[in-house]
Amino acid sequence: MSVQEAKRIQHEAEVREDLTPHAGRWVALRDGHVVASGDELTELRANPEVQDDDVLVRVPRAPGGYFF
Amino acid sequence: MPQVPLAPFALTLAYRRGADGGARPYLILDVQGPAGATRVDGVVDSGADISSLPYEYAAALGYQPADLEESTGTQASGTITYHRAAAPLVAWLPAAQMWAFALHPSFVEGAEMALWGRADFFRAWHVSISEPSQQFRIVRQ
Repeated sequence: MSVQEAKRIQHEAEVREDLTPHAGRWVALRDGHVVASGDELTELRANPEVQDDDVLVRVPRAPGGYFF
Repeated sequence: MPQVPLAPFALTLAYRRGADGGARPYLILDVQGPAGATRVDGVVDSGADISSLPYEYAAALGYQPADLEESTGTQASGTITYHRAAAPLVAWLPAAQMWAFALHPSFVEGAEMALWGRADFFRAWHVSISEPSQQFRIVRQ
C-alpha cells in the first residue's frame, strides 16, 4: 500500500488529448492517451493492445457542457 | 491471534478532466466481477443514492442476465431503467487493495459515466469535496 503510488495512478489518468474523434465509442487510456478504441466494451477488453491497468471509458456522444 | 488494525488511509486528489473534458472529482477503482477485474473511472457523486455503471459493464464483468434484476429509478432528468446485481463486486483503489470494499452495482442503460454513490462508496470511505479548491479527500479508517 502506498499513498504516493495511489495518488500517481489517479493523477496519470488525467485525459491528455481531445477525445472528440472517439465520441460514442469506448477507449482505453494509458497515461491519459488513447491506446485503443472499440464500439463495444467487451471488444475493447479483448484487444491485445489493452493492458489490465488501462482505464476504459466511454466517450460521451456530446462531449463538453455540464453534467447534470 | 489478535489482528493488527490498519493505519488510516487518506488521499487528497485534485479534480481532473474526464472523457468529456470536464474537470470533476474523478476516481479510478479496480472492480472485480465474476469474470475478472477491470479498471473503472467514475465520479464521486454525493447526489447518487447508489453506485452505477454504464450497462455495458455488466457483461464485461461477467454478469449474466439472470444475475440482474431490472428496475426503474429516478435521475434529475426523469426515469431510467437500471439492472441491479444481486451479487456485489469487490472494489478497491489501485495500490490500496487492502482497503477493498463491496460495491453493489446498478448497470444503467444509456449511461456514459460511472458514479460512485452513497450506499456503498460513501459508506466505505469518508469523503469531503472542496469545490473552491477543486480537490476532494477520501479517508478509510
